[in-house]
Amino acid sequence: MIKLAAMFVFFFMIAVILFYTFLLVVSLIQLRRMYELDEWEPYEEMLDVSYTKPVSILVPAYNEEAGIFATVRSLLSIEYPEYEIVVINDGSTDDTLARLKRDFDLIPMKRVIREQLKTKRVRAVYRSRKFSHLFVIDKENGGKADALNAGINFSTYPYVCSIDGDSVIERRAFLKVMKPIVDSDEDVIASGGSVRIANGCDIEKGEVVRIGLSRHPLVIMQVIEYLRAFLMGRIGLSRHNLLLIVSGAFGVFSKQWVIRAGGYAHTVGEDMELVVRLHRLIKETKTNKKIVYVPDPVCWTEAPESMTDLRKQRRRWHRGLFESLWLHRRMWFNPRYGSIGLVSMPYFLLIEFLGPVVELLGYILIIVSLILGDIYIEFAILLFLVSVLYGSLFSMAAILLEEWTVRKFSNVSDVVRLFFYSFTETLWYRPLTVLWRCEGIVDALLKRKGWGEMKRKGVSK
Amino acid sequence: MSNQLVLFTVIVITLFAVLLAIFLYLVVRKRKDGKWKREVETYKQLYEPVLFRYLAYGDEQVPAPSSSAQHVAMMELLDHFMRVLANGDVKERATALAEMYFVDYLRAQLVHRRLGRRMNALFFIEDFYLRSLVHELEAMYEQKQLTTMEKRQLLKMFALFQHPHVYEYMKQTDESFTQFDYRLILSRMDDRMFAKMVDHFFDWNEKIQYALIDMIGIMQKFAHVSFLRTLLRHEQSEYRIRALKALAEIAFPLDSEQLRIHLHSPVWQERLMALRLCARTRPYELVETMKELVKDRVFSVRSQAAEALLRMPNGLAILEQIAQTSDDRYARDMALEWLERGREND
Repeated sequence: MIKLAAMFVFFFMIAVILFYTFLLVVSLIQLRRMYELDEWEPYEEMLDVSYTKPVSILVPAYNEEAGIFATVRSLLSIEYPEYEIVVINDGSTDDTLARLKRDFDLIPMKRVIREQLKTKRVRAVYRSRKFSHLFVIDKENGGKADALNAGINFSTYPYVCSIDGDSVIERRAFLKVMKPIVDSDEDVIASGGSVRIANGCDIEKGEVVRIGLSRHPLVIMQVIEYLRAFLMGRIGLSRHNLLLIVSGAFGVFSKQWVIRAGGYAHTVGEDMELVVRLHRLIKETKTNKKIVYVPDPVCWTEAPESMTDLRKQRRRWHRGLFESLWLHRRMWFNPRYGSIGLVSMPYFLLIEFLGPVVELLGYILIIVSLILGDIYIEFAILLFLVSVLYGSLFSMAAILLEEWTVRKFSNVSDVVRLFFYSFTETLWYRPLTVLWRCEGIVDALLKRKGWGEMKRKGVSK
Repeated sequence: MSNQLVLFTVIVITLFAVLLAIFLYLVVRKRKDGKWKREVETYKQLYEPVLFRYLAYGDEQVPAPSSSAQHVAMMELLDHFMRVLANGDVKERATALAEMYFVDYLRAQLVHRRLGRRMNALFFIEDFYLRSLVHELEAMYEQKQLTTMEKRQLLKMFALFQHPHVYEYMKQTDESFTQFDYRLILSRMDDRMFAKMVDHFFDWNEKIQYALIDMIGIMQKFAHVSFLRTLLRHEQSEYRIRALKALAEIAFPLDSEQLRIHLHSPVWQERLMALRLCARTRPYELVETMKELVKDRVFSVRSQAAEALLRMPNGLAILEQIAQTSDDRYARDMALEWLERGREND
C-alpha cells in the first residue's frame, strides 16, 4: 500500500519536473536572446502619441487609505504619451475618498457613463483640479470585479489596465507592456507584466529608487516564489499562447474584448477567470488573438510579512484558482479549445491545483515511512529527494536564471542570500504553503466565502 | 539500499553540484561586472568635459578609445549628449566622431552571436546616422537566419538612409510586418521617396496602404491632400475612413457638400471621422446635420458630434439649447457633458 502510494507520488513529481524543465529551457532561451539589449531604445518610438494607443488605468480601492496616495502618485509620473487614471472607490469604510479628495483636489463632474457592464450604483464622479487626467469614481460596495467593471464603463480609452491599490509601477512599465499590442497591430488583446515584491526596496514618491532584499525569511521565500512563477512559468507558457494568468496586479487588456467577454466576474480570482474567458472567446470566435507576458515591465507590490496573512492569502488564491477552473470545466481536456483545453487547463488543474495534494501526501508518506522504519526508510529517502528536486532545485535554478538574464539585483550579497534561502525551501517553506493551499481546497469544497483582508501598512516612504 | 535509489541520489547530488557551480560562476561574474561598470563610470567622468567641448564647440581633440570599457563609456556619453544637445551641429560632430572611432567596433557587434548586442549596434548606427556601414547592413539583410526584430530595424534604417532598394525590400516583406512597422519605416523617408510610395499606392499590400494614408495625416503632408480626396470617392469604406481621419489631422477644410455625404454614411466610423474633421474645420453650414448626429445610435458618434458643436463659434449656446430642448435623453446628457468640458476650458 505504502509502496504503491510512494510510487504514485514519485512518478507524478517526475512528470511535473519534466514539464518544469521544459518551461525552464524555453525561458532561458527567450531571456538570453534579449540579454544586454538596450533598455530604452526599443521603446523610444512609442513615446510619440500618434503611434501609441492610449490607456485607461483602473485602480480599484477598498479601504486603501494607507497606500492609495503612493499608488496614484506613482501612476502620475509614468512615462506614457496618453493615459488617464481612474480610481474607483468601492464603498470604502475608511478615509480613502476623503484622502483622495484632499490630496488631489477633487471636484464633482458630469460625465455620461456608458453602462456596457452592469455594476452597483455609481454615487458620483470626480475629476482632479491638479491633474487633468485623474478621475475618481465613488460607488457602492460591490467587490473588486464590480469596481473594475465600473471603471471600464467610465474609461474613455481603448485599453484598460488594472492595478492593485497598493502597488508601485516602474515609470516605463506601460511602454513596455503595451509594446506587444502596438507591435502586433492589436493582435495581442492582453499583455501582462511581472510582479515583484517591494518589501526591502526603497520606494520614494512612488518610484523604486533602490532594489533590495528584505531581511525577513518569509519575504525572501516569496521573492523566490515570484521569480520562479514569473520568469520560469509564464515565459514558457506565453511563448506558446498558453497563458491563463495575466496578473491582477499589472495587466493591460483590450477594452472591447473585455466587454465582449462580459467584463470581470465576481470570483475570488477575477484576474485569472477573465483571462480564461478571453481565451475561450478567442477559440469560440475562431480569431487569431493572443495573450502575452512581458518579463521586463515590473510592478512592485507589498508581500505579507506574517504567517497569518500569508496563510490567508494562499488559501484565497487557491480557492480562486479552483473557482476559475471549475467555472470553465467544460474546457478541461476539450480538443475544441485547442492547446488551452489540452495543455493549459490540465496543467493548472493537475499541477497547480492538485499538485499540493500530492505533495502533502508525499510529506505524510515520508513521516509514516520514517516511523515504520526498516525497508520503508528507502521510500522516505526517495520521496525526500524528489521533493528537493521539485522544490529547492527549481527555485535555485530560477534564481540563477534571474541572475543570468534579467539581473535586477545589484548587490552580490542579495543574490547569495536568495540562492541559499532557495536551497532550504523544501525543508520548511514549501510544506507550509502546501498545507495552506490544501486548506484552500477544503475551503473551496466547503464553499467558504470571505476575503481574508490583509492589513496593509503601505510600501512607500 | 537498492541500486536505483543510489543512482537517483547521485543524480540529485550531481544536479546540486551543477547548480552550485553555475552559482559560483555567476557570483564571480557579478563581481567582475561591478568592477567593469565602475571602470566605465571613471572613464565617463574623464571624457565628459572633453566630449562636451568637442560636441558643443568643435574645438577639442577627443582621444581615441582603446579598451572596450573606454568604447562603452564614450558611446554612452555620446548617446546622452545627443539627447540633451540635439541640434544640427552637435549631430554632425557626433556622427563624425562615431565614424572615426566606432565603425570597427560596431562592425564586430553586428555579427555578434547574441541578438541583444546586434540590436544595440543597429540602434547606435541609426541614432548616429552612420551611413558608412550601409554595405554591412545590406549583407546582414540578406542573411537567412535574420530575426524579425532585426529585419524591422534594418528596413527602418534603409528608409532613413533613403536607400535605393527600399521599394524592393518593402515588396518582399512578409506577414510578420505590421502597420505599425510600416508607419515607422514611412516616417523616416524623405518627401521624394514618400511621394514615390504614394504614386504606386495600389501596388502595395493593404497594411502598407493604410500606413501610407495614416502617415500623410500624422506627418501633415499637405502635398498629398488631393490624393486623400480621391480616396474619399473609393467604394471601400476603410479607405474613406482613414482618409477622413488623415484630413482631420491636417485640418483640411473639405467643402460642405462633400462632408455632408460622409456625415450621412451608413458606416458609423465614417460618420465619426467626418465629425472629427468638422471639429477641426468648423463648417458652420453643417450645424444642423451635426445636431442630428448628437442623437446618433452610436455612443462615440454622439460624443464626437457634441464636441464638434462645441468647437463652433457659438458652440456653448448650441449645446445649451440641445441640453434644454432636445427630445432625446442621450443627446441631452451628452450636451451637458460637453458643456461642462467646454466651460472648464474657458
